[in-house]
Amino acid sequence: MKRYRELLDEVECDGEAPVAFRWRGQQHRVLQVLGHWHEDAGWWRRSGGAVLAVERTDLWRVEVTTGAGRGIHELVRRGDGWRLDRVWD
Amino acid sequence: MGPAGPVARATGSARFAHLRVRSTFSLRDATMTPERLAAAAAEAGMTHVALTDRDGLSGAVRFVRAAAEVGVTPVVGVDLAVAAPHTQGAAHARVSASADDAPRVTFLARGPRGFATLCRAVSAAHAQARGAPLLDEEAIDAAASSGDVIVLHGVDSPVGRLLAQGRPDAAAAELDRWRDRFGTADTVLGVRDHRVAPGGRRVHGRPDPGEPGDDVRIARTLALARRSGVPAVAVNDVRHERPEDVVVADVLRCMRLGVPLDDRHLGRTNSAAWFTDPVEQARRFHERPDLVVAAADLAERCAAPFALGGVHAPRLTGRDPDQAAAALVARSRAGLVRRLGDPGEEAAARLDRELAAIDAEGLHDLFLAVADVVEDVHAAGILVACRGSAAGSLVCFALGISDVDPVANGLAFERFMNPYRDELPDIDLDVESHRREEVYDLVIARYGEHRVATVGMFETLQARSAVRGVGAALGLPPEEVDHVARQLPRLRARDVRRAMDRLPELAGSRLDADRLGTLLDLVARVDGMPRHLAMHPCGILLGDDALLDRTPVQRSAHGYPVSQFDKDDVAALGMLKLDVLGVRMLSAMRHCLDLVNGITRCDDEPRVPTRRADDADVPGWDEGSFALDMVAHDEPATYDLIRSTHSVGMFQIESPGQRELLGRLQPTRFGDLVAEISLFRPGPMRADMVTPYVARRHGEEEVHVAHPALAPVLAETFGVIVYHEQVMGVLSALTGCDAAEADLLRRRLGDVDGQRIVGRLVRERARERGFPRDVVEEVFADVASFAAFGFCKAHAAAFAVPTERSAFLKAHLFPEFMAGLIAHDPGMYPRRLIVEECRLFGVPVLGPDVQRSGRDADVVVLAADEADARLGLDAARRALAAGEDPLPHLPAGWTWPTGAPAPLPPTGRDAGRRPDGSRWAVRLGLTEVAELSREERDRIVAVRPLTHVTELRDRVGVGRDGALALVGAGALDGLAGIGAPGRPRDRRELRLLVEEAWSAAGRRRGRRATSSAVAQVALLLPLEEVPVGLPVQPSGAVVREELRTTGIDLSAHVVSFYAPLLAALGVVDASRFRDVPTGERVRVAGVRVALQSPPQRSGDRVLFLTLDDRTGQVQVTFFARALPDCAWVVRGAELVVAEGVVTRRGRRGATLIGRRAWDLTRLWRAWQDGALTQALAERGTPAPHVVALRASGSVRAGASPQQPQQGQQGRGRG
Repeated sequence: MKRYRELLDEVECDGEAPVAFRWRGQQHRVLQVLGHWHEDAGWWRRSGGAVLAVERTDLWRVEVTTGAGRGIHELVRRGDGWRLDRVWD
Repeated sequence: MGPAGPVARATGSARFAHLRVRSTFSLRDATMTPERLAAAAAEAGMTHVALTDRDGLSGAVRFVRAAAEVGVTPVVGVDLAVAAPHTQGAAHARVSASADDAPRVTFLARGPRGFATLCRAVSAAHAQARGAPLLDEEAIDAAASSGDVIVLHGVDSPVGRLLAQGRPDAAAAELDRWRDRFGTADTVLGVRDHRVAPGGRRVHGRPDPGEPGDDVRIARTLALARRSGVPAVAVNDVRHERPEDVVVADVLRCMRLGVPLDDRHLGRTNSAAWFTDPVEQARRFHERPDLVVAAADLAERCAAPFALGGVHAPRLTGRDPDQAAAALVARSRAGLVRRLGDPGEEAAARLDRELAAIDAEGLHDLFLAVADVVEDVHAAGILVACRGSAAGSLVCFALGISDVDPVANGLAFERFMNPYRDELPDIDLDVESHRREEVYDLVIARYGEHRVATVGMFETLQARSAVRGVGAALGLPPEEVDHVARQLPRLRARDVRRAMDRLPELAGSRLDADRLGTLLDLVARVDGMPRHLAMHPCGILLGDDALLDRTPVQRSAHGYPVSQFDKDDVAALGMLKLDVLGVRMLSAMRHCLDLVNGITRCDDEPRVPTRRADDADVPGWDEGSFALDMVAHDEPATYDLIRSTHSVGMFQIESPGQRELLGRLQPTRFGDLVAEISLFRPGPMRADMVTPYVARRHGEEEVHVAHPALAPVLAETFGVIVYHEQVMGVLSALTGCDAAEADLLRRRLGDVDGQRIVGRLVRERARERGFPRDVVEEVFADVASFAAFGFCKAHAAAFAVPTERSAFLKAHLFPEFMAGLIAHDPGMYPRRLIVEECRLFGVPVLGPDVQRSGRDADVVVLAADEADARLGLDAARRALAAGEDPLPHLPAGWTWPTGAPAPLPPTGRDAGRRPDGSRWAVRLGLTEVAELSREERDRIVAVRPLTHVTELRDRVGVGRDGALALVGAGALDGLAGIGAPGRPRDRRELRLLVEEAWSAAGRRRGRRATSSAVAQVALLLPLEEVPVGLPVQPSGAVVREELRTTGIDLSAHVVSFYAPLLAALGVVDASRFRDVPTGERVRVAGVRVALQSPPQRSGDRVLFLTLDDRTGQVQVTFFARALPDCAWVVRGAELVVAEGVVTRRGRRGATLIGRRAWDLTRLWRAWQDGALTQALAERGTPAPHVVALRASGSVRAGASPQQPQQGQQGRGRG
């Protein structure tokens, strides 16, 4: 397993679930969702603005293919931003 | 939302019912009120919903009531901690350090029997350890055998935890242990999908290796369900209504645990524990919709846990109903004979009527039980009085529960116990306040712990505590939070935000606007939530062996069983409640009786009786010890004292307004006191019922009764309707109905609709009975308007008993009674005024004395010489002996009638002088020295006599502050031999010696400083010794110390120091004030002892000021037009000079109508500076330093200079 914390800019979704994304210039297609979980950031730490809103973080563990090979990736969605956190090759 | 809403949604989605839901009654854990839970369930289209609070059932009654209102079937359950499986059976098993770590199991009641099981289980869990309720194996077995409950094992159950640990076999074994006891059908696994990831937190915070994640958890749980054949249901462990409300749940939990907000402390990884609707729940369980439906099916197996409304008359005495009835009849009849001798026909018939009504309701046991309690309390030597409408019952009178004869006083039984009303009668007992817990002990001893519990009461999160709690949870700097909290007056948290805008002081806070905003938003959202269960101050539940099936109980801090239900809950459940109120006046009376009879309590030093029956000259006391039941009604000397309006210290009638009313009313008998108490309430005062009443009573206005048929009802109050009983009597006369129906009609007069309906009925029936139309209209208009104001005569009569008795004690046993008042402080005035009252009646008051004083005030006899010296009478005596006129040598207010052996005190009543010339005196107790700790005080009493001051340090261990306080209070004067050759010359010198002797002992902080307003005056006393004509005048410094240490100006009245100025101002003494002709313009001065602003008929603001000037008290009334000039001083200054015009109302009431007012200390300074004329010319405006503050913007803007500002002047220097 490798850890990354890299932003993804192109993520295509079907409803909530990611179906494809682009990472390091390479297109990844989601074959199946292996897990989908929720987690919250501590709402009291933020300063300024809408302090009392809880921001939800979604975790998606998906099996993906790049055409060249398959792998299991863990994506994190926070607000509108997507990030890649973990990869199992 | 429309009626179709929930139905439409319900049919369009899966059936579901929440089975695990916590409310605010989980106490700082969850955010929904039980009422909101019921409403939310209805809105979500659920037919059933459960309430399963942690550790208790306190929300159950309001939940059931609210659910009935919205048409949802309530399921009641509870979430209880159980021992973790691995500690079971272990000898060292102990409660986990954090109760929140303990595994929990949810019990749902399947019906009333199941509810009883829950009650017992909750009580058993709380019996384990205070603060950490835990259900042990024995209690689980008991719950199983009692039965009718469903046990739900969720994520946090022992089974759930074993599954999370990946120990399916252990989990199955644990589940079997429960199933064996509760049965397969009643053992259920809860499945929850919060979408928690494996490891819990993966992005924010630290992962938990023990967290398998919800996918695994669910799979393992469902596998166990299949393997064990136990049903599984979908739950959501609800703690908040909407996802965003989780912030409040977080704050509550962290407040409860006393920890700052942090991921580790939340007990959650996300905000999924909200009140999901069936649609959302079905979405979460889309692979297993059967689990969602199973939850609804399970809920449908549960029936309502209890019925609301109706009454439950417990069999308290354990007798069977026939025996109890016979016992009640026998005891009532015998009691009536004991009370009245031959009761006569009317009373005998009344007794039978009441007994029949009690019989019909099956309430024999109630009356017998209360009579037993009262007897026990009497036997323990505790004063007890019945209050409220129970005084209207002849049975209560006969049984010794009440002390008023309802037949002689015209009190209605139906007002107390109405056969048409489906509720248990309330019997309220007053007992000595400091011995209330002894009464609880007696009740528990008689009926047993399983049949008695005190009523619960929830303390709620209020503004200040909420600010501190939320601030700590947010991790804000404690001093800043404290700053915010201290700025807040005591108001509800939801008003805090608004208060902030009005309190610019908060601008000084260093919290930035965002954090302050977060803090205040959260404070507003936790506002009013229950914080913890406390003991209601007076309610006691009485029950039979089934009591603990109907209420869960836990222990109070003092070990008393406390119901988890509050007073509204127990009323809704129809449980029998006895209110036992602590009343300080009864404690004061007891202290008086103990002094008179020489009774010693709580290992104080032995007392000797102050009086004996044969020489006491107390009416009614012929032999033995003096007791309150020797006090006869209408004793002339008692009423003579009441009419004089010297009623300070008398129960109920001591306030300035009451004293004015006494002056106008001139009571001569018990019934007059009943009327006085009834009239002196906001309604009648505002409606000015008093004026016609007084005028008619004194024959100055014709008594008008609309119809002869009403005369018997209204004659006693001269045609004015004063009492509820009269409203009933009038309705009864007009309609011919009985008293019970009349009471029902009266109750309906409270609102406009009721008045219309009752009016129609009354007019109709009165016409049939031949009353003329105009009479009916007039009478009904009266009845309708006074129904709102009228007072229950039985209430007033019950109150009037201690009033009359306290007046009797003041009239006949003055020094002992005053000692009781000083010891227990029952009234509205500061104790220094009680001390002043002693002097006004010729009774000297001795300061505390470390060698002689008891813990509390007592009574001693002083030889004539010493008494004269104490009262300042010796100069006058010397003058008389020398053949001079003694008058100029008497203290202010005293007179010397020609030929009299002794001078007369300012009140004209000498309660101190004894036949042999010696005098009664009151000696203050060591308790008055505020900074002396209770332990220090008790050791002094145990160790003395002392021979030297330093023994206080060496033998008693009194600290430096305590010792200095004793010096200041004068308690060491005797021991140190002040003034004797070779001894300290004065207290100042003694103080230096003590400081030196204790310097090695190290400094301690004072425990409680005297905070009375008048103590602040002490700082303003002129320090130089001012000769005012008394032989020995203590310096201002001495009195200042006395006020600081005891709150009482013992050696000299505060005002006496200003005598030269008062003379220069031409101020009239209070004792002479009553002789000033009406209409004259005069000045008065004194210490402000009372300031009231009662509602006026006109709606104008009026201030009633009472000044005390060492010769008595003067009333000054400031009407609206004088307020711009005066209100600021009157409210702010402790020492006031007032100028105005004398007016009179009624026979006694001379009052000053105030036009001007000045702060005496300000005039004094001006006088010293030669600027008195200018100071007298100042009007109304605040003092210069306040003006300066306002100019700089630090005093709130917008207040006109005419508006009084509170207290800046007095406090500005304090």
